[in-house]
Amino acid sequence: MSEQTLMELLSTLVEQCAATDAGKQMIATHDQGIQFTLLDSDDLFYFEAKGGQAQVIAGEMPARSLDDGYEIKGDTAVFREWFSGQARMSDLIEHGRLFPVASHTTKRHIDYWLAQIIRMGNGLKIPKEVY
Amino acid sequence: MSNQYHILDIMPGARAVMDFAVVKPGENVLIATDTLTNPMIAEALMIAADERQAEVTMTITKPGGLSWREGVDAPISYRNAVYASDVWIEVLPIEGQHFPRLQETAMVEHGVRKVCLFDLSLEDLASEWTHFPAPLMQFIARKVYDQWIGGATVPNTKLKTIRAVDDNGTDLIAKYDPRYAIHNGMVAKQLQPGQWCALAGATIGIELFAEADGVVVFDGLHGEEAYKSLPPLGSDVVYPLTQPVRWYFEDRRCTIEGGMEADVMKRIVAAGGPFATVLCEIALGVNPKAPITRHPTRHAGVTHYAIGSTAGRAPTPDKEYAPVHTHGHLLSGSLYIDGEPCIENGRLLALDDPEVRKFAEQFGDPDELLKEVRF
Repeated sequence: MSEQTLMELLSTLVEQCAATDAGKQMIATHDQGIQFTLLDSDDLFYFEAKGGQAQVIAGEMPARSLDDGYEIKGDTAVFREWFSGQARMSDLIEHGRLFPVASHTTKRHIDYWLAQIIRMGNGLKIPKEVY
Repeated sequence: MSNQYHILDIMPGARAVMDFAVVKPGENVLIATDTLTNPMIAEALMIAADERQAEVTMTITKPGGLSWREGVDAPISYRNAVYASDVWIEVLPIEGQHFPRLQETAMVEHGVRKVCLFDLSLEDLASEWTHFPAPLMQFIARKVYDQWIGGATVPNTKLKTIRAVDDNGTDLIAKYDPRYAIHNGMVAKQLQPGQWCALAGATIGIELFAEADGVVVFDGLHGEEAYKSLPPLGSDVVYPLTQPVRWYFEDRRCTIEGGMEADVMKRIVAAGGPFATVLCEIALGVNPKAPITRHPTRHAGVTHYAIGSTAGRAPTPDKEYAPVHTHGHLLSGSLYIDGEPCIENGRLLALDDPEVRKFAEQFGDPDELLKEVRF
């Protein structure tokens, strides 16, 4: 069986997150588009959440205001580590492997939200349930 | 420490912290202080959190200063206390973060909301500048932020131009990607999980530049432990300077000139590696009441500048990193975004914006609220 593409992987995580009440509630927290840009590939895809519905779409995100849109850059392997639950977003940023295209303050609430969606999509507990 | 203040004098300031943090009943609030902090401040914060029916915990650690420069990480007991909290109130003897890595993890992974109290005295917490209405500060900050990002979109983001000029010889022109505009949690209507803010001291700025050329001539310096050995002794704010400190920029990198204050700065920068002289911040304050001599970066219309980088918090594929973030500030002068004025002769124009004045009416007389106190 062939490995899922990054876009398929993220799409599966979003579907699995949305399959639980807590996940639905988490997705509904924000409306936001997030462009994922691969530094080692021309593949483009973006995550779109609006009105509690979320999907992952191929291609470049339609332009929108900075409040409503965001971009994260990284290598394919780095995104795969993160999406598959093998690395935390904050560690990848700290180690200079993942690059949020934003200041360190502007999108941290979105980073938190996205990190939880990915955790929940992987069936992992969110930190607030652990501590 | 001053004994002229009673705890009742500083309770309004402590309650303002809870307003900024949007503390709700049942939430876990961590009040983190160190042994340099007046215990009365911690006590007032505990009472204010208790009034909100929050579950309050307090930690007292040894002073950390800018310990991240020595690679010091937080003790595990402190980390766990932070991670378990909904709201983390950190009282610091200097403007900076003790443990920026801890802060980033707490925000990104644990959704902690944080309020920083940077070098606040009893006098500060008893004074009008820390009681400045949080919603009004948010409204002003948002006005400025909107000008600095100026209709930018993602993708297809275009560079913007910022220019700082002053009669003292300052004339700096820089270009920036507006996606790297910074704010400290005050452009949203309220603090959200994953965000932090500084009590009463919203700032708006940029922390990454594509180009920078020209000169900045500072009125004062701030934000380094080493500055506490310069007059006025014991404060990380150095003002006035014995000689002007000048940064001459060419292709984003600067050379530093000046007297003994510049010498201290040069020593800090010399230990910062190949990117320590790169322009990494232009920012301004929005609080018209913040005391210029003690909290210049918070005062409306005061601009501050930094060289180095914002360690580990906004990495780019260019991998420009320096373990320094060294500041100076300019008390007056003018600032333009794409040719449009933002500050004119030290006056933050957002304070005179009709919408800001109208919004201010719900908190009192706009003339009084938006009048600058310069001391």
